[in-house]
Amino acid sequence: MEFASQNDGRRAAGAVTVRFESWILSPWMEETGIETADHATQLGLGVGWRPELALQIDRDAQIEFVEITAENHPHGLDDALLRLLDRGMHIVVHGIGLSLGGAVPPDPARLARLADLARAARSPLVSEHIAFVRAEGLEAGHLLPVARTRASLEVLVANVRLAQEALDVPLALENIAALTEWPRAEMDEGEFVAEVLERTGTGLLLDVSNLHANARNLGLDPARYLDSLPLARLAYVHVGGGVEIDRVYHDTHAHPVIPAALDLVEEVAARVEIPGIMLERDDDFPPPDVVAAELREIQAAVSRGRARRLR
Amino acid sequence: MRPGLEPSRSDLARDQAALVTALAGRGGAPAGFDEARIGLLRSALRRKRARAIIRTWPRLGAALADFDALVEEFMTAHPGPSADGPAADGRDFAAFLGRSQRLPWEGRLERIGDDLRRRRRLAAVALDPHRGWMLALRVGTREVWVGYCWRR
Repeated sequence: MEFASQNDGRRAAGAVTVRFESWILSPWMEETGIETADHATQLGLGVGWRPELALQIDRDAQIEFVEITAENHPHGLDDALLRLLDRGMHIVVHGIGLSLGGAVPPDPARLARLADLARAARSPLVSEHIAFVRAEGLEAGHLLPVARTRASLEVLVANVRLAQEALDVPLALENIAALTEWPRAEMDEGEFVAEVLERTGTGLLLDVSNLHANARNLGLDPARYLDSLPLARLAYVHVGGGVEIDRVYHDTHAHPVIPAALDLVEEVAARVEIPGIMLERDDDFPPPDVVAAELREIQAAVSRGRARRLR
Repeated sequence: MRPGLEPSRSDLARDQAALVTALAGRGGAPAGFDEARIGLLRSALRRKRARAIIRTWPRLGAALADFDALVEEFMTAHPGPSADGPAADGRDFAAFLGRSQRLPWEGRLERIGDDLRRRRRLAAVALDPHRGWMLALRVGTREVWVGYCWRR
């Protein structure tokens, strides 16, 4: 006879952590007229919550917020996340399945689940992508770019407004990495994203690694892109790792963050105060000290950019 | 809904379906797309999907010596992944193997774990006439697994 007992709950980490409520130098910024993201919650330095990183997130004092992928938590928050919430850590809910750039309006049931999870996590905002992920019942399994046409923009704006109506908290939209793009674009990516944000009043989740990917693979000019974005709407920033194979950059989230992405972090921080910035790692998880070192590099890039801005 | 958007939605639906179908390997690249990049994206998506199945169903992935070939066969038969994410896609893969009697014992055990944790079932059972049986129960926040194995 075989007998086994399993307990799915993760062990509570005993580490004592110190959390700095305000990561940025806020009080005197208004007096000096420094540009800062409007009304954004100050999130600080964070990481995408994954089961493989749960212990490190419990213990690493430099981690100030986490982002959870909504579709990975269909039954709500598990114990590890509830503990973080008890400690006062911000949990930001991030969706990947709404398909806001899709031809059909976002599914009300998906929206309701997203709103419920955001309430449970006391998420200060919800983020999603400027992308579509399915068409006529077939899942792409990936975030696909939308056509940058007027007609497509109108549909996207209508979909985003439906999502905003269903959520209790502000919505932020993320730029995606694309290996290919639609023909006959009527505007460049920066103009397209800027217009969606302005017309819907959404925040910006700027993924600098995706920006690098599109610069490398599609010839987008990062400086011009940043110039065209309403950075006052910046909610937070994503930084993920990737790898270049045969002169094509793949945004894998399974490789180290490349220096070019950190340079873009610095560029953004040189233009605006970043309310929050986080590392995305989804696979081939390195040891905790490597993740911690990447977080410090991100923080250092923010500091370099901020120093340039305040000079 | 503004009625004025309906023509845009219908054109968009047609164009987006053509792209997703091409990426699923069921058609060529839509007009104006770079065929090479579509091919690159198609293979990147397949790698990502296979990797996500291994990550969410690690015991099943480790138990299949010919995982790569089997998952290719599965993805060809099911060109679009599950709308409910990688864990559900892995479950579909397990079901695909189960239908052709190719689901290993470790995969059966992982499936009853999935029944309890992701599907929130109170009980689940695995049976393999050549190996044994296992019953998994959810008791509050704990799990109890009881089984009998007549051949390892």
